[in-house]
Amino acid sequence: MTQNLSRLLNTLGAIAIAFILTYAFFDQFYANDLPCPLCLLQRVAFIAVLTTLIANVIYGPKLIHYSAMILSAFMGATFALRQVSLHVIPGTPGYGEPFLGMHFYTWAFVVFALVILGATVMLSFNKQYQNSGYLPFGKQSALAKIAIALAVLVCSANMLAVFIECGPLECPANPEHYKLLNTDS
Amino acid sequence: MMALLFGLFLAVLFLLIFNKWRPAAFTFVFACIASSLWFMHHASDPLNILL
Repeated sequence: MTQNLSRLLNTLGAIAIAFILTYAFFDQFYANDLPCPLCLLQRVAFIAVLTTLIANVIYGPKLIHYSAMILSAFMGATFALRQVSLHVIPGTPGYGEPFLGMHFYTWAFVVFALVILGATVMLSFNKQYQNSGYLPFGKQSALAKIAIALAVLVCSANMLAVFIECGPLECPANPEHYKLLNTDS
Repeated sequence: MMALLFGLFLAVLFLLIFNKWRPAAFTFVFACIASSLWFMHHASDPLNILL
């Protein structure tokens, strides 16, 4: 596993996580499926994983980045498992519409588990850590630039959308409208 | 308040892009701890996860 291959795989991982968060937005606005506080915490954990992937892209692969990635995914898996456990009793309705047979929080748990597995495998290759260092944005590959831009865009969009949904105070447990717009979803 | 968590990670991303890894690392850890504390507060019975 060379450093370039590792950077490429981390870039592709970052784009995949950004795609997941973008699809969550599509569901939020197109299907009017507003995220609950636990859903938002899972989005936070996805952003945390995305940040560690971007750290590997910008600074090159480092053990501390993989460590933070695993901890972030563990944090996200905890939030997702909590939400699964709230709806696991037969007859209890799920939150939101299912996607390909499972709810989003169940898929989130699966993805976080895959991130933990992937990071554990990736960090075991020693050759990728040789001569790794900071690469400015201008010197990144086109794909890496896209990944970094997507990360900033997705994080900014989430920050704005959550503020519009919840305002400066606590988010409602079962949101039905955007607080700052004061309209139904 | 939840938007603040996303804002913290956005700050981390910009710090990383501009090669400020040390404040980025501290902010990242702080944001993760804040996320977990928020979860503990809202979950209200976090120990049930372990049962």
